[in-house]
Amino acid sequence: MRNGWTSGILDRVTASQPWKSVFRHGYPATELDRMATMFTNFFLHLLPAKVHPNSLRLTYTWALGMVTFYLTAILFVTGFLLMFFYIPATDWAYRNMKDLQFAVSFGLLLRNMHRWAAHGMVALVFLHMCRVFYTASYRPPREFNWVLGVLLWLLTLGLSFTGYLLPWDQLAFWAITVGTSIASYPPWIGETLRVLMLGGQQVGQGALLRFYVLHVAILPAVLGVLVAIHFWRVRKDGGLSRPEGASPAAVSSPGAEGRFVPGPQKTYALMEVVQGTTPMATTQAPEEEVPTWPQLLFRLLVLFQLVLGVIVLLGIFFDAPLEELANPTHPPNPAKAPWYFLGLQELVSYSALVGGVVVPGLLVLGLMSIPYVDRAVKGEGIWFTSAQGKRIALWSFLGTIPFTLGLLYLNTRFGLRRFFPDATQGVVDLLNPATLLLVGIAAFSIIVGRCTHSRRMAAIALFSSYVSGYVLLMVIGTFFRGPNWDWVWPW
Amino acid sequence: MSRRWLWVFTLLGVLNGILFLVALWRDYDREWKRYQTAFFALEGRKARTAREEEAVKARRHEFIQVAVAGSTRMDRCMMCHLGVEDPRFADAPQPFRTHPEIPKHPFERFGCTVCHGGQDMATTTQDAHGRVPFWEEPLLPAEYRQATCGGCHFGADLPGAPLLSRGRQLYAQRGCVACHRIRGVGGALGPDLTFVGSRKRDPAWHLRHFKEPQATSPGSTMPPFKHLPEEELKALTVYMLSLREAPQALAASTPLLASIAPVAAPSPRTAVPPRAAAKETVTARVPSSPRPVSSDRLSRAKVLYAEKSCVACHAIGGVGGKVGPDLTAEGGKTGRDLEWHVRHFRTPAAVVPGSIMPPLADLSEDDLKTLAAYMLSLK
Repeated sequence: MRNGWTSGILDRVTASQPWKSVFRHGYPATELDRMATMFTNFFLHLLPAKVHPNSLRLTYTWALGMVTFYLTAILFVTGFLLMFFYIPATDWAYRNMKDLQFAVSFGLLLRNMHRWAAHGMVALVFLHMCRVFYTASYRPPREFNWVLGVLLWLLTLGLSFTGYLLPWDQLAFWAITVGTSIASYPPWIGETLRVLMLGGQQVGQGALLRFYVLHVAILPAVLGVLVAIHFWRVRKDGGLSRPEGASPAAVSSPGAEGRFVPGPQKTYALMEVVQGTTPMATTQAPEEEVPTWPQLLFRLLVLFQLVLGVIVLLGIFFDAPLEELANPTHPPNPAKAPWYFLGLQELVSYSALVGGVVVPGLLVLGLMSIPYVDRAVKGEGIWFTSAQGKRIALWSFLGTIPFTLGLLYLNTRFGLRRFFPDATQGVVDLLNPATLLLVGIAAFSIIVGRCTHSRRMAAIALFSSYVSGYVLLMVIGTFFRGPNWDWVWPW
Repeated sequence: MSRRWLWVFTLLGVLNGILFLVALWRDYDREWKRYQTAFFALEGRKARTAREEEAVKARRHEFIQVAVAGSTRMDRCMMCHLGVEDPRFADAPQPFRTHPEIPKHPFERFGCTVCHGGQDMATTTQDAHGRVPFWEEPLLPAEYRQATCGGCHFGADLPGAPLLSRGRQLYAQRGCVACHRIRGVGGALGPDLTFVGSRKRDPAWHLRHFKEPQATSPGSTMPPFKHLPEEELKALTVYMLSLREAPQALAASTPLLASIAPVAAPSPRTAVPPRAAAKETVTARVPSSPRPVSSDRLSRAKVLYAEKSCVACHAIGGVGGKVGPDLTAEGGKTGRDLEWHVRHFRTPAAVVPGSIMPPLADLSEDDLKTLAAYMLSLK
């Protein structure tokens, strides 16, 4: 293209002082220039100058963390645009949704994209967490980054939950009513917590304003800070976790630009200084690593195209739901919480104490304490750690399904209240499917730990059973529960 | 290596670009624009002078909405119904036809949905006409349209809405008021109907309910009104549909409506004493018995008679409804003793085959006997 008068203009512009003050380097053609660019560019310095091929394997990370980050970016952009058309007042919120649909250019598309990206983010944060757990990537020095990850997962749920109320339709109103009533079950503080969340006794103008401020200001700000720390720590802890050993052949061949030849300007060595026992904390020799530009950077760009395309496609062809205007005097039957809380709602239907307090509390505490219980240092970066781990994960996941279904069946057929209609709440809290499920899974993981003499194996059994049980309860709550929370078939 | 990624990147970029064009087209290609284009063409054919033609040529697609005075309604109907105020379109096909003028109801203040129903902010036919899930107020069929007049014009006799006026009349005449209350007036045996039109918006539901109450409301004790002619049921349906939450701000901003308090004094036609008053007036007017019944018991019986709204269907001495048999000489009928009456109160249809009287199942044995004694005292 560089011929004739266009090349003259281009050369003039790129040679000018204003241009050079903004873009300090031209397009980096050599490997060294590219690494320099990675280092000096504000946006690119998030990434290291060189990466290990083992971290690049798609089947290792499935790029789940990065997809989550892209979804967050899409949510921020669409969210900012939606804010121009939204007034957090009960008289206006629902009408704003109608305006987005009928009057605002791209309004419905924006809302749809925001909705699907949000649901996707809730799912992907969780899947990313599963990946990090199953590859044992929480091991030192990454223990605290795992805790940060759990906090980010909770923040994501909080963001999704606060956003759920904003359309102010029946779906929003009653999902939040149910969701906040689950939050009111902890003894002593529960009721205060609920009133604090709602700014009143029930969902109304106070709740809408609080949820709005949380959704567009406070939670995103906290999320931004925590994500920055999360990324920072990944870099400082030596880049993405990865299995040790030889690089797979497919990635290890350097770019077509030619092999990297160590020269006198080994500035990348300085870039890789991280905390540890030696200045070169990365035990891999730098020669085994490949330059981030293009190996990682191009993959990330392609991934972004893919994520954006999928979200736009969903936004074009599937509309975000909008039911009738919120009506506090007309509850739907059943009123359901957002889908990711339906597992809890299912448990609450057996015991408010277990579903509303014990399970969520133990879940969060249990997740956060994983790296402090399984204290092995070596062996990260391998899915399920070993063949034994893979077997345990699979059987825990599959075994929990008949166990849970069996408990639910027993409860429907021979529930405690059926034979002792006036049993006290304490007895019901002790003897119900929720508690028995909890105890059963805990006992199973202890047995696994004893038999294998490995805390890691016990953790895999516990985690897999919980994931399986919760997903199953969520599916039941979503598709198999009808009026009065009775069993229905979804068809 | 990097060349391959560049190709994938470019390919995905092109696909995303196509997606963006699809989104752009879907955003641009709105149904109402097609209607406006058709209308401009029609307008061009009707133009007579060169100046009018110029004006039509200069017209562009535009977003039109009427902020209904003082309410949150935002009617966008006129984005497609462009000829409503232009008398030249009296013979034009819908949606462009001229709307007949309604005195004192200028469209730019009242909009369309206040009278017609439908979804005010919607800009597609399907959505605007409200025949979509989750929109509770679809377009009202023409034969029931007078119902919406009653949303603002309570109580007053409406010459322009004969069906509504007839419905209000029938409501009192057929005894509905004995069991149902509207704006504080009427019995309390059945549900309050003040806002029944907001709860049940489907005319077919009301028609079916009148004929067969248990079919639409299981467990209802309301007697069926199958015997009423279709025309009366329709008028009553119009009245029921008219009982809606009034667009209050609209009412306040309109002098005509401001003069009528929301809880209007009942007009002479619908005048029926409220529940407390009903007890007194009914008991006072029921002729006292020639047979010796203890006065305590008699007054208790009369209270029960009023409370259970018997007067809605039965007349004593010319006071009361005509749905059930006249009770003026009930005590003189042969073969009806105390036992028979008690059994009849409990299960009317079992004692008198075909009876549509609702059972008085919730009364105590003692109360039933009191009421039965009262029946026997009527001679």
